[in-house]
Amino acid sequence: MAAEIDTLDIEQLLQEHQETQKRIHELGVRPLSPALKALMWTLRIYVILMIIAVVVNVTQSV
Amino acid sequence: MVSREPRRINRENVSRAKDRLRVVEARTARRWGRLFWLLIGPGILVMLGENDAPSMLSYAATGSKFGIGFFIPFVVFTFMLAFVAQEITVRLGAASKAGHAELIYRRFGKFWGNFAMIDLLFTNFLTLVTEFVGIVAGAGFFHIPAPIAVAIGLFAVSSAVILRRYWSWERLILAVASFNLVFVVVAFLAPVSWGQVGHAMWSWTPLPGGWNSNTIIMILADIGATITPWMLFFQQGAVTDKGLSQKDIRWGRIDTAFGATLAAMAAVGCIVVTAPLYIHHMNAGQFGAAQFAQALVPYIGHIGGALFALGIFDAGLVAAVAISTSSAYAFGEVAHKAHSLNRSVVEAKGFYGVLVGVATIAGAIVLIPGFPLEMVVIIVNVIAVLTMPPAIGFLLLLANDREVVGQHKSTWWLNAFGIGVGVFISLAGIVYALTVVFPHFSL
Repeated sequence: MAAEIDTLDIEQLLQEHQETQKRIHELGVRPLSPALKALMWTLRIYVILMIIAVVVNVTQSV
Repeated sequence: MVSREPRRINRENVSRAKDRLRVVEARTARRWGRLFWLLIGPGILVMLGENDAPSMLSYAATGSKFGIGFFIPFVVFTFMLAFVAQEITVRLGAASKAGHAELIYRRFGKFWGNFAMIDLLFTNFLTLVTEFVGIVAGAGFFHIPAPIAVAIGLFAVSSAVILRRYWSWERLILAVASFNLVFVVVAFLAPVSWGQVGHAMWSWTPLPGGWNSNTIIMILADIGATITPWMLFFQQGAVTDKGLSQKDIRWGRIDTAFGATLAAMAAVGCIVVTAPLYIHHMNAGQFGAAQFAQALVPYIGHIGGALFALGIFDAGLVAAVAISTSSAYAFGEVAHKAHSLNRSVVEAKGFYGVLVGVATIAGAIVLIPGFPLEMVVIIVNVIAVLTMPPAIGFLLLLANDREVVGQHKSTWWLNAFGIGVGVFISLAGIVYALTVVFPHFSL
């Protein structure tokens, strides 16, 4: 049963987990196209502008 | 979930293997009810966890300012958006066995990873402070002193340290989180017309005051009450820690949909129960938890008021646990340290240190006399939603990265929904900014 489990069982039960982890560990940084980089910068600038808007709103309401 | 020691047989692996064995046994015996019980958790926890103290106060403010109308179906709609985003974390977690922060750093590098972490830690910490505000405010209704309320909150967060087992921790927090449904119970105590609720549900009307800056801020606060960056990091971390396999993705979806349904019911319940304050023209916009509970006593009785206050207290408690855990998962993933609730404190000092440490600092801040807690509560949901578009961007890119998710890559219609959520949230933010720059702006 679930409470009694030996090393062999653990290896079998976690096979998918460990194989997937190994695969993910071998992945490198994905190349970003110029369009993707532009999108990420746009979203970053968006956050900065919105945080400024929140600060302005809070300052106005105080 | 230790990046540099994947093959070792340790406590984490033994615990996870035991969980997997029970799932395999249930699946082999075709015991679907048992399988459902074993595989639910992360989705319900993340959705009920997001019904946190500031969220419930946001819904209460919505009900008291706008009554029963547009916001009832709108809140249900926001949970549909949340489901679209959270379903992706199930696929990512089950297909990659890696946390969200780990995948962002691995696929986009440190530069973009650091930005994502700054967003997460900033919003997590602010939100965590507001959870303790909710805990203190809810306990205040019962005349429990603030330091004791904070201590109870810290004890709940520390339960992970004591249990040292993901499964036991998840079941305990699920039990505590299920109390969120108390808002459904108190809704039935409120003197409201359920026919009016039904009418609002399909007609999306009325919207008192129309589309003005107050409406837009409330919309933004209610989106922020449902969709935030920590949810992505938490659910993917929990799915990985629970050990969900690719075969379990369908159950993970059911878990998430079930959680979204329960959370939407509680949110609608909260709006319905506070609607009498709108009907009787009470200005409850700046109410805290205890004031809401007190103001509701004439309409839902003292027991109803007490249940409402207890609901806010519980919402803060569950979210404090979930948000601290999401910060700890992210820390462990980025620092390549052990990061599993199946580990002991000795094995995962950094993970548990962050988990309890951030909660302790947030709790201590709430106890500082004169700290502008109300302001933090008001802006936290707004900030959470404004930092969401880049998080959705990373989420969609990862969900379409075949090297990460393989066959579980998003289909075109899942992408259409995902992009729709991102565009909707971004536009809501832009409209908010317009109302700040042009205070008399209206649609």
